Amino acid sequence: VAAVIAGDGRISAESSWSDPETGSTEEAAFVGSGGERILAFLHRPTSGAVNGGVLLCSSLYEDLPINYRAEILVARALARRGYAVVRFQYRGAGNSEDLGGRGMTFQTMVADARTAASWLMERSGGARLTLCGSRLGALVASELASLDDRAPLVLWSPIVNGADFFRGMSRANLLAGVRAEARKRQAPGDVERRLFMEGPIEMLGNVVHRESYEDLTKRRLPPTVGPGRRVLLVQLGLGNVENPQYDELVSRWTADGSLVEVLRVRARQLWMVPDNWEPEDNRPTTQDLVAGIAGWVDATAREPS
Amino acid sequence: MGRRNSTRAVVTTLNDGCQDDLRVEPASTADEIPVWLPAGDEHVFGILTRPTGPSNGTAVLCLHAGAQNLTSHRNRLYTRLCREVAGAGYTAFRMDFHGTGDSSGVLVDRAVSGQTLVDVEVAVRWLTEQGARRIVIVGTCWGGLVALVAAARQDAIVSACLISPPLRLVETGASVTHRGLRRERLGRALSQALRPHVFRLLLVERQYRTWVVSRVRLRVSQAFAGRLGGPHSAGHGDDHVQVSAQALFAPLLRRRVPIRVLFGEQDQTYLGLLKEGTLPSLEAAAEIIDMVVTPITVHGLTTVSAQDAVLHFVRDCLARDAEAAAPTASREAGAGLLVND
Repeated sequence: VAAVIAGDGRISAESSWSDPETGSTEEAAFVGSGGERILAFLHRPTSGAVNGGVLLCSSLYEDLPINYRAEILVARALARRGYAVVRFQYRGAGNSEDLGGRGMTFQTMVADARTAASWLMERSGGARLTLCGSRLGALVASELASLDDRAPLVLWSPIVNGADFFRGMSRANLLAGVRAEARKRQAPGDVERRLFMEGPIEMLGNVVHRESYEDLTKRRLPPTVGPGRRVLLVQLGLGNVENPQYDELVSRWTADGSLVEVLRVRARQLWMVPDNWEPEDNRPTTQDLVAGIAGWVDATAREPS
Repeated sequence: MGRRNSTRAVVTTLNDGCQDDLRVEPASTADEIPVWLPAGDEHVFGILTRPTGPSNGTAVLCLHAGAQNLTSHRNRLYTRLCREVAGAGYTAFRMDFHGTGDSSGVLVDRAVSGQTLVDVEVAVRWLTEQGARRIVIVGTCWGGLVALVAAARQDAIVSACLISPPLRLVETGASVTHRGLRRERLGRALSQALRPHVFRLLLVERQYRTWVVSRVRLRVSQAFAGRLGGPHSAGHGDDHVQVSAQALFAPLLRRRVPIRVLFGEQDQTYLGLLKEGTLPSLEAAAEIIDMVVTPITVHGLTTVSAQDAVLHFVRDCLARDAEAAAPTASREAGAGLLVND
């Protein structure tokens, strides 16, 4: 039993822990000021200089728990390779501060990402930054990238258009109602009409505020991410099904001079998770995803800037 | 709210209109500390919420349902619960099991034993070291089973709030997969698939079609594995309780630990319990078990109304627990909670 008992026989609770097997350390803190604090996690090598910094912007609502463990595994894999990685939870989501009954907007999400990036820079000594965004977080990561034309960008199963995200969640919500035969069905009607008539609505057990919906549906991945920028687009899917939205993005960005690579991972991104249970850590698809992203970040960061 | 008896435990039917919020100013991140606790070979993550005013000496320990979950639980249910009760003088701790959320390790199987119990025992011990004299444990689904077993083993746990736990497993110690009901499930699946709106969705919704096909593939592969003696037939990785029902309930009965259970009428966990009919161990423990059944589906907390029902249920449990503990409670107990952060 390692380090369970402190000198006086009491359990020693710490805001960080180190894994001697991987040589990495994880630290948790509420960062930010006043009523705008977010819960953030720093993964870093326990000793030695860091090779670079990675900011991981997660998604929202049902995506949060579904992708959570995989994001941790990516962060841990990068820390093992010598990178300082920060993950964080947006205000109004997870364990971060409330937004006083309001919903998060793109502005609050980007502000939280900047808070997390500042913490990362402070803790990693201003190392070269890589931005990574999963799903809706890809919009946030690409917004931050617009302020740093050198930062490599990882877009993990990105939401190209915010409206698509809510449309998909609304459909999944409807289908979940079909699955639960005797569950009280929600009143039919399109999302916008229900939002205007009823205020906040729920989708898959998550409260969606009107301001969140109105703001995020308008957001899209940018038409350009800048010439010379390295981009990894992670495409999840079964078989060799093409994603026209991604194909168009890759074509457009490549034509603009960006260096775009696509990582295809044979996995599903579904909100309706089958009820068979398997540890995320042991899934071959998750391992492929983690190795693919960590390997790309490492290779890219080692290139001369 | 009405009560009736079922399998000799008191069953309460929860209706609308129960609005007894703890009208207090909730805690915020300023009152919270993220920590890792060393637990055997693992480090379990959790967030401690300190009471915003004088401590009442009671801690609320929140366990989620395991896989694909994190401390905040669905739609921040546990974040909201912990901050709310901290406003009423409770210390609260929401934690991840090893291999889930931000904890270390891999949750290899969901047996209610081994490292999983170590995770909870360390949290209980740490909370008592921090000054908590009484602990109310809350658990959803599989976490409810863990909470029940932990309550039997830890004297500091004075009551348990279990949200849609698969209680029938307590009786059988069996796997949570309903193999005995396979034929019945097939019939139900076919009847669902033949309904017009489901049929239409199968035709027009690619995601739904993909999901259905994946389910069918999974079932077929499990059936083959079962016939061939493959890994699925052993039930590896399923929930199971490795403790006899008698050993589980004896200490709870001796210590008179109230076990309060919330079910939705349509929860598989509840329907499974009803199918079992009379459960001797639950009957024997009827005097400490209080079951609440609400018309909505609670399992999985997949709707906001289910989450609200859970919040209301836990508030009610805490209020009843506080009444029972009133003669011995001390306003000063646990007031000096400290964490070496």
